Amino acid sequence: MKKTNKYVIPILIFMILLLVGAYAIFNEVLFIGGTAGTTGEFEIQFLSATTTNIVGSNPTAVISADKKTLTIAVDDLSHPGAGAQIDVVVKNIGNIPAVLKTVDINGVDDPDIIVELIGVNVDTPLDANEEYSFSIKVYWDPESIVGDKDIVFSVELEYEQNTSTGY
Amino acid sequence: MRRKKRQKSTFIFLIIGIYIVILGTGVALFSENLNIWGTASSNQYICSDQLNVIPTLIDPVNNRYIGGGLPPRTIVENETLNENELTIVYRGLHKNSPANTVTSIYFEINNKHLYSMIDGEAMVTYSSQNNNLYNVEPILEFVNVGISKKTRVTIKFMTRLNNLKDEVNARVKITYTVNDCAKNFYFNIILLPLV
Repeated sequence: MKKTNKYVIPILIFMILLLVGAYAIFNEVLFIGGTAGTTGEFEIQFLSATTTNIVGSNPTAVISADKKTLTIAVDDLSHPGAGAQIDVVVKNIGNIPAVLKTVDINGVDDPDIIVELIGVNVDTPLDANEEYSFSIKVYWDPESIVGDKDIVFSVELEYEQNTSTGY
Repeated sequence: MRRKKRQKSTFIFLIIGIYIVILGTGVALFSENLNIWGTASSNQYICSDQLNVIPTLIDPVNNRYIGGGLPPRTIVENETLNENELTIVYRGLHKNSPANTVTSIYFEINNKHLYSMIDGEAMVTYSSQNNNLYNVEPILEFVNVGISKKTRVTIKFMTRLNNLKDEVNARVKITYTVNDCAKNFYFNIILLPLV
């Protein structure tokens, strides 16, 4: 019986510490949101995606119903130099300030079809109700002599609560 | 006694598990990912034959790319640049002019490719053999031209206005290889008779 108590007390202390930690995070959210209730909402969405600067291609950009995924297709690039730009707007529709924590890009290492992210910067804050614009440029390298290519790429933007704001 | 002890341990681990789940949920609320999925495809490669060079504007006031002398008893009627084709038109001022007089003109082309232009060469074609515009000789300053570098193209030729009734012309094709692709720039000389 004595032996059991010896383990239970440290575990209880550990649990209390965890509880305090979790509570502290939640408390900070309420503070930044400037509300007294438990209405903190963290919600980032794609607001719009527009194709521009279209040369020798027929690009599409579609935002999913839940506004969390943007699907881009720049197919049938007709000649070197052909391509398109997609202007993207992201919006913080919640009431908690966010910050772009990481940008994970995959599948953009092809030397002939270039994918460029313009204006995407890690640590860019996105306050509640604010918008953030950036562009994705997809084009066939003007100096390339290699065609007949298909590439698949992905970009993951990870937003987190911005803990550097507040009083 | 042993069974009771096992039950107690299970209970403690259950509580710890619940706390971890709660804590995990709390963190997840304040972190979110947006995803972009993309595809792109290119058609079969067809080498463009246009040399991407922009001639230097030698006389910006008169919008002239070509410098050097004038064929005897002529004036420059106009000079035009159309993508990769530069044309100069001379107009005769008299019915006759001395033969065997060499005129030397030049222009500069700037390499706007992202690669060096190599193995440059120039060749001449005429719309018709004639005695009014002849001995056209193009000379490239550099056979290889680096990125953003320029080279001068000098054209020497002879003219004679005698018996000139219709337009005569010569065409110079300048070819460089860019990234394994042969590309061209054209220069035209047109000589018109006295009106």
